[in-house]
Amino acid sequence: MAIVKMSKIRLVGLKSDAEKTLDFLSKYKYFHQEPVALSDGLTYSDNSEKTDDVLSIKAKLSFAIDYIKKQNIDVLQIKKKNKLGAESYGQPTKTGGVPQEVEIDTVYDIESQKDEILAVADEIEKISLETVDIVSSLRTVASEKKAYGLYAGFPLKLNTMRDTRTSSVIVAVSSSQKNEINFDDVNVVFEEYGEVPKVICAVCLKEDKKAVLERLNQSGYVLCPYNEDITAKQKLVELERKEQQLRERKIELVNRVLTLTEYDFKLKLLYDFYSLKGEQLTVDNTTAKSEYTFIIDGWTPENKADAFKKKVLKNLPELCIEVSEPSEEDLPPTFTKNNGFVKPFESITLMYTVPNYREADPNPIMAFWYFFLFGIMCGDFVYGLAVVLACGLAPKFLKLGKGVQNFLKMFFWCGISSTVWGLVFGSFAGFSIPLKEQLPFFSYSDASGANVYLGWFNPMEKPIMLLGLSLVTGIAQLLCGFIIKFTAFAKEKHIVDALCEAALPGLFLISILLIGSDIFINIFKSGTIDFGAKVLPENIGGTLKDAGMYMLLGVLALIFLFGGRKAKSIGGYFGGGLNGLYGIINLTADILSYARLFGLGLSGAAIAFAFNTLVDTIFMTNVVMMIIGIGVSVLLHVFNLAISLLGTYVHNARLQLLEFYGKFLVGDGKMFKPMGRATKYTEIKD
Amino acid sequence: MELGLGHVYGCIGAALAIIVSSIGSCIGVGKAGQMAGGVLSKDPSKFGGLLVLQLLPATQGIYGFIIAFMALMNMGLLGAPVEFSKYQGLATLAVCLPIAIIGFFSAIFQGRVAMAGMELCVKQEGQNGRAILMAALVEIFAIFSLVVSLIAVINI
Repeated sequence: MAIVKMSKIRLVGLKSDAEKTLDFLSKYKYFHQEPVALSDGLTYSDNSEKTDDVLSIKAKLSFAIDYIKKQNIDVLQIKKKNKLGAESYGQPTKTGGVPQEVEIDTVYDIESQKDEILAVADEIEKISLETVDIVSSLRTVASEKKAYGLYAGFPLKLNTMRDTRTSSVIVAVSSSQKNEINFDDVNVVFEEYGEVPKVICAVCLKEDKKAVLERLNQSGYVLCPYNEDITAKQKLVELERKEQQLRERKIELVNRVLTLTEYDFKLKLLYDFYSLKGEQLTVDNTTAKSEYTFIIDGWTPENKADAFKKKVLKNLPELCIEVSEPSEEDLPPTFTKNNGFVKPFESITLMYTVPNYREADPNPIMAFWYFFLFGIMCGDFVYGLAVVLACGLAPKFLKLGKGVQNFLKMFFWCGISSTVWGLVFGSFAGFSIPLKEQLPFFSYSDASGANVYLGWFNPMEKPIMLLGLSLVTGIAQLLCGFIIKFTAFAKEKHIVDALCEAALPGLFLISILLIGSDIFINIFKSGTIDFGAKVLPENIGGTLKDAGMYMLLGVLALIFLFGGRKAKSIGGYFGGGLNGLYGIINLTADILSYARLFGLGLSGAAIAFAFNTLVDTIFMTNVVMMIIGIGVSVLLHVFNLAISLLGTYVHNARLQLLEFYGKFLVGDGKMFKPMGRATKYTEIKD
Repeated sequence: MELGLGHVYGCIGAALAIIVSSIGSCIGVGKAGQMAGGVLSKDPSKFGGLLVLQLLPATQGIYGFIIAFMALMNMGLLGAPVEFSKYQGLATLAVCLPIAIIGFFSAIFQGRVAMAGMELCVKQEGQNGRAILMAALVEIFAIFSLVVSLIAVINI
């Protein structure tokens, strides 16, 4: 459980071997490349053209993958809803989902089939373009059908109505309900066809045409723009036929895409192959080159360095390899190696920063505290058990990505914490279980013996105890942070810094604990289990309080005296001292920030209690209502659990990142990002 | 025990503590959330860091809740009401105001600093830690008011 030690690697070879070398490093999977500092005679390559080519191929492949996925989803929906013509489509396949784990060689081997796969991608591109044309044509046909449909009741060919030397023939249509027309004072002969839409065919003298058109216009009639040698009905039949052909072609194209779905995985592999090639080009951009040679710098885990060297000498004997320890100026990448408990919690640290290579891995201790605090904020036996079961079983039944699996693992452990704290608080989905007989483990402080429940204390009944527990836990975690800081300084033999910057704030925390001991002991005495009385002698609180007061004054004086020890002027010295005291104020604020444990813990318990009361009042009247009530109760508690988990996840992270890490973490490291992992659709096996 | 004017004043104080500080938190978290949504539309990988930044102004609401809860507990309103004079009620109302008012403003300003921090994270890689720290500094004033309110509420 630590940050893995790194070895510095330098590879030198002939330029002609550069591509082969990059392929090798990509396949090796544990080589983190570092830009080479240029010196005389060395330059970087310009791979912009090659990069553009790779990007263009990736875009084509990505389009094909997305298109296949979309077409399959669309057909799946059509079949699911049993839409008209659903039987014309082929069998869809579910694509996408969690990236499949593959060996890196599988990705590289796909190159041999690239022509065939790219031809498929081209075909899909053409299909998509043709489909766009078809969709556009279908829209045109639909609008034409609508337009010609207005004249469906008109029995003559559309071009037969031509003007003669003296007379005009006018064909017009109205879709309005109020399509009555008055030709009383105009010399016109007309015939009407249909009701709505109503087509009118009018014959008049040419000199009356203007008046006729005016009347038609006033009554909302529109002139027929068509002049074809067929009737509107015939035209509609023609359009129907065209529409049918277009639809058939569209289905044909969709079915072709469904057939090409068999290439989906190969398309994805080829995409990832080009992603790795793109990564190699990026690496090559910062690889130093002379006229004939190249230099690649990088890092590999120290325990793999020998094997790596042997592998290089075996596979690339023409290369020179140098393996060395990192110098003081180097900042090697951070690669953490942790056990199954700590690993899932690493994502919390990464929300804040990447741990520095030169510091101790903060994840193990943070994981413990995150685990510990989670239960205080969301402490309920039933809730915890539900989380444990859900997060423990989900990966066994569902296909999940690595990220989601890690997340579930973290919540699995947190669920255990909630379960344990649920027992401590005696909370079972918001209910308390009364103890009927005195068990040997418990020694009741409540002499009357009334209302004694399982667990140490019920936060709803003794909220002050929860507040006390929260603050004491906060002090303990902050103290832990200062111990880590003290150790880090001591390791570097910065003893004065260790004393001033870690020991004194730590002593301040202890003094606060001592001053408050009277209160804390009294608080903890009121629980079912009287820890205060068992562990500490009578009236010890007063003595501790006095000791704490003296300690506090001493610590504050020392902080003021040593705060400005690095200043070069008197003003700077006093300024530094005051700054040190300000830091102590911040530390007090940090302690109080742990009151959120109390806030969240209590709100979750209060909501659960409120839900139980609600269900009890409304539903517990008869058997039927009871059954309904149980269902409602489950839904309400699932809601409360979801809200509690979300709040606890984020607020717990905040306490770790800000209050805890703020005490000792250096951070600003860089992640170990080995070559050969830059894939999107597949996951490379370790 | 019947409820008196003291309980009424105390309840007003508790209500103010939770309502006003929570409104501040709503505004702060809401504004930061809007910004986070915009940032995530460009770079979804920054979700973790932005989530913490967005959450920071939520703390004032929790502080308000703590004071309100303590005030109610002091008056015995979580169980059997206790004797609570008019002056005790007025004093409770008065000591609820620090967390209500300071919580309100500090949440809003913390939300603004969080938004600026999000911009920093977009423009500069690996600045999450600094962005979170800057936003957290605003909270110290809310903590001061929490201390004053808490100590006073418990001792009334």
